[in-house]
Amino acid sequence: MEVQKHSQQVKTFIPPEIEACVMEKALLIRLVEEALLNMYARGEIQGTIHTCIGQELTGVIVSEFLSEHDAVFSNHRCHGHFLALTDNVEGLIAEIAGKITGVCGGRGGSQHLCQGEFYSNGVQGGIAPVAAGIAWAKKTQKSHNISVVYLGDGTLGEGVVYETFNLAALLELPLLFVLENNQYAQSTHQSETLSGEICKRAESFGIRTATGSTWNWYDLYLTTEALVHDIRCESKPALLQVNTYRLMPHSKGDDNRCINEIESYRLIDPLNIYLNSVEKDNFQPIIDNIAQRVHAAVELANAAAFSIISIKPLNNNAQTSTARSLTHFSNQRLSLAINQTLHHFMEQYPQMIFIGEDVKSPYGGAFKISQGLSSSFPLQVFNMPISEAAIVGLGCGLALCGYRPIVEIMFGDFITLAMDQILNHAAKFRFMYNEQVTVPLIIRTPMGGGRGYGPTHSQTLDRHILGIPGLSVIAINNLIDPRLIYSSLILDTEDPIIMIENKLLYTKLMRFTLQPGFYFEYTQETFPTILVLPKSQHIDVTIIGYGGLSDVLVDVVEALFYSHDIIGQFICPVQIYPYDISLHINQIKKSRFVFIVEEGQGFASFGSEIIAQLAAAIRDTVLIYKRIFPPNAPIPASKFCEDAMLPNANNIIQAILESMA
Amino acid sequence: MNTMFISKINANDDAVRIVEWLVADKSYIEIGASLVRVETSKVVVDIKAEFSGFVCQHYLPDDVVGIGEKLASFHESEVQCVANRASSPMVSSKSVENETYFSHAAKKYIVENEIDPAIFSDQGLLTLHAITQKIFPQKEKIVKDFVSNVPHQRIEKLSHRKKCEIKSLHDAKAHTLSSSLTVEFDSDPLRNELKKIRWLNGQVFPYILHVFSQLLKNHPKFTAFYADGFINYYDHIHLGIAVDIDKGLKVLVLPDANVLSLFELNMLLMESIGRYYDDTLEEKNVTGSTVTITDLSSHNIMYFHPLLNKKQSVILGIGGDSKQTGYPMSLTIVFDHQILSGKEIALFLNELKEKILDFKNVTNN
Repeated sequence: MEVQKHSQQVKTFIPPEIEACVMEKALLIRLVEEALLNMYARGEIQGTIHTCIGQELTGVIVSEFLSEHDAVFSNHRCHGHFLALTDNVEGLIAEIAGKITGVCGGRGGSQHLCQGEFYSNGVQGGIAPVAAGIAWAKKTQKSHNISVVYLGDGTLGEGVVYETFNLAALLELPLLFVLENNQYAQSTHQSETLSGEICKRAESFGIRTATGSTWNWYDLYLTTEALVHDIRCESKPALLQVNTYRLMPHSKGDDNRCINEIESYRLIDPLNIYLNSVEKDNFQPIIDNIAQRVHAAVELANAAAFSIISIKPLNNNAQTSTARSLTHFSNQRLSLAINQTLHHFMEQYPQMIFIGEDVKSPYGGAFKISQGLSSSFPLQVFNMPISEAAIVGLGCGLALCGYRPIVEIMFGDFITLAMDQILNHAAKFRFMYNEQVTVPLIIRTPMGGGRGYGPTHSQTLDRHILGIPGLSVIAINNLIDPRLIYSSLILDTEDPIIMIENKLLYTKLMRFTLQPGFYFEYTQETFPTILVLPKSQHIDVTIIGYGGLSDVLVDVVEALFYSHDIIGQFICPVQIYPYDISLHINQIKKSRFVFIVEEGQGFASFGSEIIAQLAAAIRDTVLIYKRIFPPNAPIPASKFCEDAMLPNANNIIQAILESMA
Repeated sequence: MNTMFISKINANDDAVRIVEWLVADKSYIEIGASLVRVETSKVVVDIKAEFSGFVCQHYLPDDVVGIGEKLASFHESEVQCVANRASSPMVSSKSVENETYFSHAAKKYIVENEIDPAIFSDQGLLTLHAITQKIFPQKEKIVKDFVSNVPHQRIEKLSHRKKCEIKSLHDAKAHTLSSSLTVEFDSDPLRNELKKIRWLNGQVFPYILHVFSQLLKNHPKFTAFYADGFINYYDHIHLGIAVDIDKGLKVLVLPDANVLSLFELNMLLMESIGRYYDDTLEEKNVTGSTVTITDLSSHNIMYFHPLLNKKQSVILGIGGDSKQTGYPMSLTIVFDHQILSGKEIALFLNELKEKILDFKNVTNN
């Protein structure tokens, strides 16, 4: 019944030359994907390919109305969208074959393409806020360019899509959601996964919608033209629902659909109908040319070399110095120091955009870090809805467009809500797009207990964000001028960074002086490691810690000497991932005991990594290691229990004394 | 670029502490404007800029800077200033060596065993273990027992001024052989007599200072010091008055006290104490004394043993107890036995006592 309904629709008039052009593009896509399936069958392609055979006209028609510098973000089924926009057959086939001549040097493969302002990613839904960020950048630049994001009906189960609907409508972004409704989420029919109507979802956010289909593509063509024109002129989002059907399996052989259903759609496939309707003599040369071009591209790809991955080494600089060139904020609390640092740099860099929940004045953020920023820089500071995933994605999109966004996540515990954006988007783009883009995104968030906020607002979750290639993690402390940190962030960093702050440390004064007998040294790295060193050739213990514990551990080192007759040194990294402790091995080997202190859980954490690195690197000296971290339990709200659980100067010293007894 | 160095502010100090910069780093300053506030062992003074230009500071507040060290550089532009900072970063005095710091256990041990801390100079941090290793390498067990017996302690950082005072007293102690003698007398009759002089308001202290300084004219070895087999005589009798009221211990200097009348001396003393209260003491008000007097009689301390100051041969300690009949007072002289003998001090003390009690002497003033 459904198929009959589609086939009976009346055609709107489209000039023949346009029709030929559209069909030629669609045919190119189909022949490329058929060639890819053949390559896969011959073992020339590894992994996976998601073909859009049967759906080609969506990408072809949308691309007809895009201008230079419009951006497109596609999904796992992206070949058609890519070819429709770029016509780069050779780059696509080589990419999927994993060759160095691919558009991403073989790093991204089928699902992760990038050329110019075309991007794709294989994780469902997460691309929506990134595309929104790009749209925001276009709007801010007043360029009249738009951003397009391709979603499937299966993606409507992802919450981040609705967060993005909300943001796109609120910010009035020039963003076109193209919703390809092929009725299936992989192999599951939408009757099992989708409630309600597709367009009404977007309409409830105030987003204009339109519907079309690839079977009645004349109408779709005109509808798309009008919609894109309106988005470009009015700078408001819209959703285009394109009903279509995938004639091939989701991936390769994973198709459980009824063969009769597939064949019925094959009969009404617009490209098949067109090919059957045109005069062979006229169109055959075109078909032959396309086939020849695809064949040549396959041969080129097969002949090309496989990509080689070169890993950029860490900025290891073992040299240390007592010099610190900036010491603003003496006698100021860390929170105010960060706030003033942000004021300082936002004035200099208008491309810095500060977004987060409740960040505008007069509230100024839950911990007042952004106090006064929105008054001073009203075009750079924006309150956001409680949508952690979407606002991180928004920041990611801005960063792709050359902005320096700073996203505040109100509590570190909430960073889990944005993990897909961090892990599968921001951290991946530069690598998987073969260095064609950078993502200078800063995500700030306070972690740590000690304020009685209970199990879900007191955690130190750094271990969950360590070890993600492409992402650096900074743990700010009160032993180094925050201007130095932000200066490096803005001038020397092009990759996403999570900056962990600490709620208790916010209230501590900047600490640039030590008890007599101790002095600071700093490594000459982008984000220096701070060493609190004793004026002594003899050193009993090395303490390694960071972030919120830095202030406490300085107290510990000083008290160990003056009150307990033990000479200690303290190594305090600012960047905790990537991190290489081997720079400090000679210094650490001066002591016999090594204590690693953490506020987060101990299992598989920074401390584990440090001991693993030391164990691998030190072969000529026997060191005694001890880790100090909270017990294996959530953090209680009760102040008494929380105090007993978290590391503090007293229980750290006690643990050290017991270990050395 | 012009460079400014820390110059010597007084004879005693070989370093000063940066209290605060009076102009922001990398900002412009005119020659002669106040640049930085530093603390000597005696006072806090402002140092003026010797050049005009954009200042590149070389030290931080609370850093201790040696005399002759580079304090700041002056540049024609802020850009040059920043470039200079990049090539010549700020220096922290925390890296300055030649210091020794004792753990509480180590400090307790050297005090209880009367060990001269000077033997541990330039050692950096010293634990009890390190000390006993150095003195009694065979007695390792002492360390463990001693540390375990040390009760929990709270530590407090000494001020720069106090550290200077300690260093100065240690130096004095290291170079003198001190001994002391005391005489005493009832002061009530004297006090009654002094009350007749209205401007003196019954105060004994200025009167004793006056008599003491007059007497010193005949005893040059009392304003001298010993060094390397020689006696070094001062040309002047500059009284140093140790004062510790509400503003910390300071030694106020009354120059050439021997040529002043009692009235003039009292006026000078009042003016100096006023400056002490007002925090307007200048370097010249607190440096250059050749003999020191300290008075604890107002606290009803009858006897005490003051510490000799560096490069001085005597210190006069005045004690007293108003609660005893006759308001007895004591005069104690601590002296350097390398220059003076007990007999000389005994004769001087008795002569001083006699002159103090000679009421005609009062009337003559």
